[in-house]
Amino acid sequence: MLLISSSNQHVYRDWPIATPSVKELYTIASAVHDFLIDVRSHINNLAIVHTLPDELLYHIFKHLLLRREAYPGYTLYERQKHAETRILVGLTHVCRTWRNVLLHAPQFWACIGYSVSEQFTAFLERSGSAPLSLFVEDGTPGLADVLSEHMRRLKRIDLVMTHNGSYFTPLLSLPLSKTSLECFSVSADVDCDATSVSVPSSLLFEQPNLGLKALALCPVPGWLPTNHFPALTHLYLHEESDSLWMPNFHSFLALLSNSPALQFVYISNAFLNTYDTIPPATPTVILDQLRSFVLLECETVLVDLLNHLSFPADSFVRLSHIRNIEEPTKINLRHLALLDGIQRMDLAVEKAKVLLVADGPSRGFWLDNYHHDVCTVSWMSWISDVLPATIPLSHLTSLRIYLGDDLPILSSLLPHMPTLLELGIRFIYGHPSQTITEAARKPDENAAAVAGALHLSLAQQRACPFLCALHLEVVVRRRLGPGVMQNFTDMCPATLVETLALRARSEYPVRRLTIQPARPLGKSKKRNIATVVPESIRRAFSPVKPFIEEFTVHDMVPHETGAMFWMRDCWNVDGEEAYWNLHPDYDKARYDWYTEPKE
Amino acid sequence: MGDSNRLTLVASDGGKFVVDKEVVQMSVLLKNMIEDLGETDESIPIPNVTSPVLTKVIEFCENHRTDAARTDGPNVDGDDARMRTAVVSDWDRQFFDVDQDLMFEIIVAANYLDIKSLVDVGCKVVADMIKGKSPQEIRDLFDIVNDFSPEEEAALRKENEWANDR
Repeated sequence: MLLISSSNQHVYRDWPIATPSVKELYTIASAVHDFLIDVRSHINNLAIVHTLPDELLYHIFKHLLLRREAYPGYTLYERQKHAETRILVGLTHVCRTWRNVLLHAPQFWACIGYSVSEQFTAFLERSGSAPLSLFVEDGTPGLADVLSEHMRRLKRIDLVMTHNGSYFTPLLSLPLSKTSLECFSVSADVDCDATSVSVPSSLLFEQPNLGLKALALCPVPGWLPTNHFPALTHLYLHEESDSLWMPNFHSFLALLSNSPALQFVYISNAFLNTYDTIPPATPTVILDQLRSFVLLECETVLVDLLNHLSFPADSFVRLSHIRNIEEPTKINLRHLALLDGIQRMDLAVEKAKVLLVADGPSRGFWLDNYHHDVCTVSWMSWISDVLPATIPLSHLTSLRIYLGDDLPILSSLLPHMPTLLELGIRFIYGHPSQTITEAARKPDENAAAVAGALHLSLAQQRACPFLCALHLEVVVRRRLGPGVMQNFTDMCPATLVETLALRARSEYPVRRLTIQPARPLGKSKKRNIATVVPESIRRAFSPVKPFIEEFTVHDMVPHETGAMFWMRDCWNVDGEEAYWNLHPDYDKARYDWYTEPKE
Repeated sequence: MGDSNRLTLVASDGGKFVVDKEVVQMSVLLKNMIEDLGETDESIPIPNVTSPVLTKVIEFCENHRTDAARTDGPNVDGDDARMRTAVVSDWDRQFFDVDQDLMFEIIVAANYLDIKSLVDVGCKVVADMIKGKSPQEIRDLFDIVNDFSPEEEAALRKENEWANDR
């Protein structure tokens, strides 16, 4: 029998040996062991998964290891983050083939959560010369040495603050300009008071020019960098637990002006430490590559920043949950070029609550706000007086609108929209405490207001001459009972019939009328309500039928299902999450303006 | 003269498949061959792919014929960012709901024919099968045996301790 190991170190041509020594037996045992391992490796070679060439195994591993969620640096807002390395290590323990493929792929080992462990050293070694993404905590011993040693291949540093005093300390000695660092993010792991940190900006960013492409400071340490960032495309300034106090307008404008390649600017919870006025001669900051500018939960005065920026028409501006708007008319917005030629607008206003979105496929303006003090704040005068002067309405072809109880304002807006093709109006119909008898005695005020506003603005000669589609979304709050069939005639007041008749006779008819009845959540679930109510509405609107070509009443749906307000995909701007994930509930654009109408 | 928009593929076992050129051109290999051959009625042999596998490959290509930028998908070394967010559709998942032999044969065939989207989906499906499993569970899944030497095993045990050493 021939006994041979793959390494050819132990060959026994005449096994068994007649009188082996113990040493020989140990050697033979070792050879047998090696031989069995070789056999096992041969078995593995025949495994069906190993019909895949190594390059495909590598491709499979990429899907497992280079997922965004495997590297915590992408998540700026989660606490208790750690780098997930168990998957990678586990894969190397499956068999020799897999281990070999993985150990020869430096990029798998190059996204590292810093610790002082052997693992970190091993990962660094195995990552070879691959660009490094380091997820690190401030105050970790030895970090400065590691950063310095691997400086030239640092691609990304995601720093988590855990200690107030050592904020940024490991980075202070790092000549960032000599690195190829693309992304630098700071986030807080515990409740750190960033404003108490007194490290001057010049120590951190002492180099005049930094090649960073992405910078996220959350929290911002009480100052803003004054370096030049010629390549910076992504800027994220956020404070979750407290408010971000920016020194003043000037410092922020300086940061923007030092970052001419900016594409995505995101600032939340920002307030000014000092109210400085910007001299009239201050040059406009040109951001000609800007694609998205977001102010979230910032104070009203910061909206003025927009008046000092110049950005392309194809960009998105979102002002969300702007704080302290006591008097909406004080929002100082000059003309925005991106709104020129805008064709679609959604406007939902109810006392102190507003959602205004004007957009197109590659551009848009968004303003939303909610003020708790509904008694003192009202957007209505802003809507009727300021809005037409701020947003060019003359090219609008589609308007979807909800005005709460202030429906008459509609008549002040429509005359500004001569090219309107489609008009959607949402209104609340009836009141749950209203009995059938009362309802019959007193026509619904909102339905009358809609009809009145439409009459005022559409019954005139050549008013919105191209308007061909009218959509009414009616949230039916009236108590629905046995007498429901005769209760909807006031939904179609005579003025509405008259308006539609006038337009038809003047040869600019509203060709299509659709009605979507909706019911508030939790309301009657009577079996036939979804079809009975539409049938009643259909009858109520029969007087308009001679004046329109197409009349549709949809089945009744829960009110948010039928909501005609829906956010268009363009607001998820491609590329905004290239370096980090935006929080789906907090950071990202959402039409969450709606709440169930209060009973 | 046959239909100039269609051509015949011949599998390794002789099976013939008449397919739209548009569908076939999802394969970079076949696309280049067609361009080299010009207008021809000749069949194209696919020597490394059996009929059952070629049937599945054609089914995939027909289903994805309208996908945008179909040959511009991520290649094996390519677009990490897109791959990180790639989601396997229900249809694709259903498509790969076959036994492991056929699944890997499809991926190998797709790699040979250079159909990037099929390679990518196949690898993603395999990755999903692996996700969340321990080394032993992965071995059981793919009939792999532990072929590490005692010395290597000792090194692996040390590496296992890393998980508790953050």
